[in-house]
Amino acid sequence: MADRDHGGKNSDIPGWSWIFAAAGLVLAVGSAGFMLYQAFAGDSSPPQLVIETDPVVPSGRGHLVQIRVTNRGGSVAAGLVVEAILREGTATVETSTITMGFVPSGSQRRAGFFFSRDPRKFDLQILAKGYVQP
Amino acid sequence: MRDSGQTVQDPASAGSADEANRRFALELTHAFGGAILFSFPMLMTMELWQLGFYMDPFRLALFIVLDIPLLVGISRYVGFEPTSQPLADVLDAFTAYAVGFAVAALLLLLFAIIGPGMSTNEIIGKIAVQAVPASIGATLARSQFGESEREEEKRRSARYGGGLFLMAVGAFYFSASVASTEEMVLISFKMTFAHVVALMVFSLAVMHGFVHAVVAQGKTPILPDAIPFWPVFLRFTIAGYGIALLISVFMLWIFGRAGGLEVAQVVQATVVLGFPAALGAGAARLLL
Repeated sequence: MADRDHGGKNSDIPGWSWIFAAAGLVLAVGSAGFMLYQAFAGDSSPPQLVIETDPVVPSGRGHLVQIRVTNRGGSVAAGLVVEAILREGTATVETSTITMGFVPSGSQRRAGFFFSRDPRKFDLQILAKGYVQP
Repeated sequence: MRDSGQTVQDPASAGSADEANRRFALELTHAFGGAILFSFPMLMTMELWQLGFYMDPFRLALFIVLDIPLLVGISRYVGFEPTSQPLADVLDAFTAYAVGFAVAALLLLLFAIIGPGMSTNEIIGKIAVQAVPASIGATLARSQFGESEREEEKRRSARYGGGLFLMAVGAFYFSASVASTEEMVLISFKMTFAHVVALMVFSLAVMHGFVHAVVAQGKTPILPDAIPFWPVFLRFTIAGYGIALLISVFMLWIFGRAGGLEVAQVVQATVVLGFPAALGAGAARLLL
């Protein structure tokens, strides 16, 4: 891109070339530096999952409970299994299970559970059951 | 249009600065096109998005850092003799990286692979891992879309070392696109020892085909008439396949695909990845 195929001098390099090259330098150093910082000073603790539920909505002939799963830990949770249980007292009324592909560290993913019974009439318990390290 | 490098100020010199900027803007559009063309398969590959957030951050930093000298090398070796301006090569490398980064960020955003709800770590990781092949595409676009104005100018890649470097670039690019995928792992598990040996022979045969074509085109120090078998096979094909295998094992390491595997499995995975790497090496040497 800089004009050097014709025996020109450095003064023949177009001004825009310097600007774009400077942008590239900033991006390269910035992203590599950020990754190095993550490598040496970053958090590598196990996944720590926080689950928040949204209000129950009707869905078809049943009900849908949507959740937001946030990973506050330092490592990604892959194949995360989340289980939702409807209880009445000590009896289990209905269960529903989700498997989430990846919940990266510091990120949030959404999912939903379908129930035939109305979860608002029972005790709803949602738990993360297990994950794998990719 | 040979610029004699005069320093006398005249009205034409201001015009040539505009002309240079205009030509740069045109080549920048070529770079964007090249970046998109070379990176879109990887930008649409799930495993590479995932590598963006679970790849070892030190290795990702290394991947980025190694990209810059690679780009400088491509810029230099796909350039023309006898002129040499190392500073221009470096500027071009960083410009190509900026273009690659921008293309990766734009397409990932368009495909909703990056967006709100994702951590900075995830977003930067996803862009950075894709910026490397995109930046290679941006640099290569210059060689394909531009032209030499003198037919007798030989590319620096016509020299032996330059040719080997181009093979490394091709091997790097082709293996990067495949190294992360689950299919690659599956293939290496399904293959027996006999399959592995057969794949090596096939890879060498295909590679030799490419190399023979390159020699016949007159792009190497060997004369195109009456091409001898053994010197070409040893100096170009075997050397190129060796480079392809080395690049493959490096790619497996950097994407964390060799972790927890015993030596035999790593060798098997290297030969499997070595096939696209060998294709890339041969094709790069032929086309660039």
